[in-house]
Amino acid sequence: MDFGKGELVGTGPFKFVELELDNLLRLERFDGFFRDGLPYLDGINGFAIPDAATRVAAFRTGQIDAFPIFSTPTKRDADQLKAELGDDVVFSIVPAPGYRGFQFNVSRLPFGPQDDPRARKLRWAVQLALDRNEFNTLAFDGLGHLSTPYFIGWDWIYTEKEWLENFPGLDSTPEVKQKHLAEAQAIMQAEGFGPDNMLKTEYVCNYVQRECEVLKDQLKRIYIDLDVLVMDFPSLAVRRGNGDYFLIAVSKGMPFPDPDAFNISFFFSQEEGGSLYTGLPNPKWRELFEQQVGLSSQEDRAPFLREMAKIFYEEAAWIGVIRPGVLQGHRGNWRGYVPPPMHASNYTLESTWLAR
Amino acid sequence: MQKYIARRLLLFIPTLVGVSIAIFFLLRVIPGDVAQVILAGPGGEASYTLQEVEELRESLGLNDPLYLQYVHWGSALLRGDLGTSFATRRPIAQELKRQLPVTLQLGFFTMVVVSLIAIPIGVLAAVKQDSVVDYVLRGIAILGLAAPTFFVGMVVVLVMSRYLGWLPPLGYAHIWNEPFKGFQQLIFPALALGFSSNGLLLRMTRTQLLEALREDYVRTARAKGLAENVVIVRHAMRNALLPVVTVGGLQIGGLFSGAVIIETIFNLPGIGRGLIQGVFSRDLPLIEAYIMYFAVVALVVNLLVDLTYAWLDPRIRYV
Repeated sequence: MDFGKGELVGTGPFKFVELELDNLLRLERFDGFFRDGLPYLDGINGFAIPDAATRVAAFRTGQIDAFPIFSTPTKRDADQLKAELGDDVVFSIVPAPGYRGFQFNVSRLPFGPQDDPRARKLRWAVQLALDRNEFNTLAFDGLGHLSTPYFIGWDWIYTEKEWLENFPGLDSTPEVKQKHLAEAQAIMQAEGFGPDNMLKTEYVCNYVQRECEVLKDQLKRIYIDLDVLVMDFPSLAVRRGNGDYFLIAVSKGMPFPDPDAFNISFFFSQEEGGSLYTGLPNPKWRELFEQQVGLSSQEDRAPFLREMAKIFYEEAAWIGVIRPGVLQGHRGNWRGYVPPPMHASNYTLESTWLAR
Repeated sequence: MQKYIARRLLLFIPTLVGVSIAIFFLLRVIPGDVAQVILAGPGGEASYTLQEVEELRESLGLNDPLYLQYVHWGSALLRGDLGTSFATRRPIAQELKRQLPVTLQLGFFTMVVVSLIAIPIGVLAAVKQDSVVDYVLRGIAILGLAAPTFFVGMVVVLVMSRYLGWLPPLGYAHIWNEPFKGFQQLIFPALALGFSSNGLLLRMTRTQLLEALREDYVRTARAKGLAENVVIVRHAMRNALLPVVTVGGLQIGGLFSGAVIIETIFNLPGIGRGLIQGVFSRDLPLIEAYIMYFAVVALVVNLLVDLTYAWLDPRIRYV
């Protein structure tokens, strides 16, 4: 079958009408859809609008009624549109199916070798010092949510409260953060660093420049002087592939339905020779992983995964910072359409267009 | 004349070889590995092994020595094979066929708009020299020269969407299929794209016409009692237009570079937008093919401009 010629088979709520590459896609209502009364819409016209400002302009003038899932407006644009268009538009915060963070190169100084006590201390100091709330406010418009590499939302492993209580550095409450920051500073001072003797290193970072600057600013508090190298993704990928970095930005898509999907994806990416190789997982982590794979109930698996998450956090080779949120906007009342409360696991067209 | 054209066409060959070498090797110098870009997927988040990177590089021919890659690419180009896009895996000729009409229509519209606006206004500024009209028009021309295309494009979109509440309809329509919709979609990008060309041509027309108006043959024409518009159009303009045509021709090359920005801002699926996407995905064969295409167009336009001289000035002969 050739999709370009409209040769399609499916059981969905819409029928294919027309596709022009890089231009438009037209779908019309399929009257024989197996769910009675659905879809609400007579059809969908999709337009390729690669430029963000043009998308906002198209929304403002009513040429598009909704933003595509991964091409939503910035908070500033959304606030502006809301102010101009009032109740005619609705914006909902949708958590992104992945998280942002960064990764140390544990195969070289100063953050490696992996098991070197000094390197471990330096990585742990960073883990303690990070203020994720500040990250969220300054770099993610306050739309994101705290993130470790493990999804906060798998409550059967750890609830959010447990994460905050048991994992030093995660809690951004000022007094707690102050305490952890002091601990981090003490670690760094014990290793010979201070305001007059900063640890100078590089941070390879891609296009989300605010994020890079916030990290630079936060690490300065523990006497790490980052030279931020902002580059586009192809250049960053080469640096990462060649292990040519000390600290590098990571954006990781996350298969949320189950931690095994994440662990397997993570595991393979961290094997020696993998694109995200950090030296993890350590033998203990791997042993626990193998043990829980055969278990079917969450209850049985939880103790293993709890331990694995702890190892991961304490290794601090790969640090999750924020799961960003996006503002999905639509205008008008589409025959009773209400945007569903979305998580990545129901991040589908069906939930967008069919939910009551 | 035929000899001249044949000689110019022959000169295309070393020029194109030079351009092809420059493009090919410059693109290999910029950082970024296309194999890793492809494997990382559209969001750049997929994981992959370095072995997969090696295999893909091998299959794309990226592990061959550079000179060999160039020979393969160049010989395919001579056979009319533009290659396959790394990013979309579709033949580049197919991509070009889809995107080229959009850019050609935009270029044509822009040239028409520029000719219709800049030349008459330049004439008006010259005729009304040192008047308020002249100062205003020269001010606009300088603004056009100073404002970069991307800025003009963004201002046009902002003003239309925010203050007029209107934008050209979405979903690009070819002008021969839906003339009115196509016109709506092209006229504003053409105005934005032509703004700086307008400034240049306006000033050029004004200056050249002012010079021509001071010539003896114009004085003679006036002394014969000819009407002023006849003096300007038939006597002065014809001589004044020669450098204007040269500059106008050179502007066509500039239009292509401007199209890269304007097509993105105005959402036109032309080769400019395709080129931008190609650069971000390090789609080397696509970038190379498109730039070669731009080079051919620039050469042909320059030739046509030179040939136009003979039509404008019968004294010019090509040998």
